[in-house]
Amino acid sequence: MKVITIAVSVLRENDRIADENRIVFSDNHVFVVNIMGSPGAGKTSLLLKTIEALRQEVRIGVIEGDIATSHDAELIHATGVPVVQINTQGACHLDAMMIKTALTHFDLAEIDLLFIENVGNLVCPAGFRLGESARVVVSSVPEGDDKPKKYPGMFRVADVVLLNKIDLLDVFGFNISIFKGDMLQTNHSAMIEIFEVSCRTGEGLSGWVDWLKKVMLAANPLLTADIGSEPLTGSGR
Amino acid sequence: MHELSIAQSILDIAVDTAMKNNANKITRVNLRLGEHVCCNHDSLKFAFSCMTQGGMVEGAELNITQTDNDPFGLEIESIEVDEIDEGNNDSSLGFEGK
Ligand SMILES: Nc1nc2c(ncn2[C@@H]2O[C@H](COP(=O)(O)OP(=O)(O)OP(=O)(O)O)[C@@H](O)[C@H]2O)c(=O)[nH]1
Ligand SMILES: [Mg+2]
Repeated sequence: MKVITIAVSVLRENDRIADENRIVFSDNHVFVVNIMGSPGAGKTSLLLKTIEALRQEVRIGVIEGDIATSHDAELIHATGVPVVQINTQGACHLDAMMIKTALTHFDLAEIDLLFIENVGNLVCPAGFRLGESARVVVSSVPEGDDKPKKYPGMFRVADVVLLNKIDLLDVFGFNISIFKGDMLQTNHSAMIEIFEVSCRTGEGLSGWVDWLKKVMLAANPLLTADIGSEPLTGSGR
Repeated sequence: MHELSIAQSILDIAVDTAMKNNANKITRVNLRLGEHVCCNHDSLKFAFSCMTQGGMVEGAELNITQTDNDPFGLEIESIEVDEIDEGNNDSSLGFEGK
C-alpha cells in the first residue's frame, strides 16, 4: 500500500473558473455583486429598488439564479435592464461555470454593474466563489433575529448584510441588537456593513445605494464622470 | 445539500491522481474539511459509498478530518492506493512510502 500526497482543494475547479471570471470582469471594468439569502428574503425586491435608484448613473445587468422558473428574470426584464436567467435544475447554489456560461449572453463592454441573484438558500451558495467583487447577504425580519447564529457560514462570507423588511419589526418582535451582535461575532471583517432596510417602504435603501456607489468608484475610478454627479440625461458614455 | 457533487469531485481528483501514479486500486481517501464548509460528514460518506460500488474505487473508504486551520477548506490530503508499479513514479506528486 502506498500513500500519495495530493493536498488539492476539492473546489479547485470552481475556484479556477471563478478566477477566470474575475479577470473577465476586471478587464471589462464590471463590478459584480453576488446577492445571497434565504428564499423570500427580498433579493429580487432589492434588485428592483436598486435598479430604480442607479439606472440613470450606471449601466446595470442581472443574472438570475433559480432552481426553476424565469419568474424573477421576467420582473427584471420589465425594467428594461439586460437579464439572463439560469435554472440550476435542482442545484442548491450557483457555481462559477454557470456564471461563465451566462456571460456569453451579455455585452460586458456595455455593463458597469452586474448583479447575480443566487439561489434562495442560506447555506450552500456561501461555499462557491463566482468571481464576484462583493458578496451581499439579504436577511429579513420574518426569518427571525437568530439567523446569524444559526447560519454562520453565510454571514461570515458577507461583505454587506442587508436586514430587509424592517417595516415588520414590531409584528415579528425582532430584536435588532441580537441580530447585529451575533452578526459581528460571526463576521470578523473590519469592513463589514449592515444596513437596515425596507424594500416595501424604501426606508434605509439610500445607505445601501451610497455604499454601492462608493465601492464601485473605488474599484473603477473611470466611473467618476457619472456617479455622484447629476443623473445623466443622454445615453451615457 | 450538494454532497453528491462534492463526492464526485473528490473521486475525479482521486482517480486522476491514482492513474497518473500507475495505481489500479484506491483503498482510502483522506479528506480535510474546515468547520464552516457546508457539508455534512455523514451525507458525504453516504454519497461517496454510493459512488464506490465498482471499478478501481470499489469499497474505498472516505476518511474525514475536521480542521480548524482553514475553516472554509475542503482539501484532499492524500489517497491510499494498491499495486503501484514502482518503476514509474511521478516524483512531482511527493510519494510517501508506508
Ligand atoms: N413587508 C415587506 N415585504 C417585503 C419586503 N421586501 C420584499 N417583500 C416581500 O417578500 C416577498 C419575497 O420577496 P422577493 O423579493 O421575491 O424575495 P427573494 O429573496 O427574491 O425570493 P426568492 O428569489 O424566491 O429566493 C414578496 O412578497 C415581497 O413583496 C419588505 O421590505 N417588506
Ligand atoms: Mg428572487
